[in-house]
Amino acid sequence: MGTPQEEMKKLKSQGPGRTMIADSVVAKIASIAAREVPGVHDLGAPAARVIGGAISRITGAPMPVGVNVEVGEEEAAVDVNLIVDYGQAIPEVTDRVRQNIINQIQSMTGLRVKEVNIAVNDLFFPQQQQQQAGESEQRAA
Amino acid sequence: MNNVPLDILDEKRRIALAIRSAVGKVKGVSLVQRPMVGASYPYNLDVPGVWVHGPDAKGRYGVIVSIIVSGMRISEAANKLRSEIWGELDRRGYAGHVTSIDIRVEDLIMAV
Repeated sequence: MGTPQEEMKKLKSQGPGRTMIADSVVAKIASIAAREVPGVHDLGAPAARVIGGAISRITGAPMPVGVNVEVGEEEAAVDVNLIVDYGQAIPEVTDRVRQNIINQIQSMTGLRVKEVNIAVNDLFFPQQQQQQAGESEQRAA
Repeated sequence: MNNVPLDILDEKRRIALAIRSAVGKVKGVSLVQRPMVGASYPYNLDVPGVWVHGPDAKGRYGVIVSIIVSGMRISEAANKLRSEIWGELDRRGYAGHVTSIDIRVEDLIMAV
């Protein structure tokens, strides 16, 4: 088996016709690849997650939140917004996220990933979630 | 302005049906069935997800196939599908009537 680029060339020489990959497909791969990395709590800024969730419910099309992609015929560029678990080394987490996104997109689509820009928008504190859960239980009671 | 001859519509339908048959033979690939919000979507009346456009001056057609891939690599899926479509068109005698097959991957179903 050759490199993804070689496979893409082979694919294109199969017969007349092009293969186009929708932005949402590449965004989905990037989103899953980012979540696979330990230390990544979630994707997207809190406000973006609320808005993105509402848009997905209206359109019925699940759109990964916190990921923007630009897809060309042979290249892709990815922007990711992360929420990282408190206590994790952010540079290490972002390096692993970048590498995993590049590997997954290249192996699954054959597209060359030109750049992966990562923004860490928030930190997640486990105590915060416990506190919120406690408050909602009190309200329910 | 000339009217569109009925045989063109019929030929488009037959090409689309051949493509649907080819898609059915490739595991992990299905045609897009739902319209996208806000998009002008290429639908064949009989075969959603397949758009046969043309004919050109030489009477040949172009095809766009919109697919969903599940459980396999996109490059592999598109590769297999294009080969299968050309094979099916060839078997049915339409390969010479088609200039290109563009495959548009619209969605991906992944087991995570």
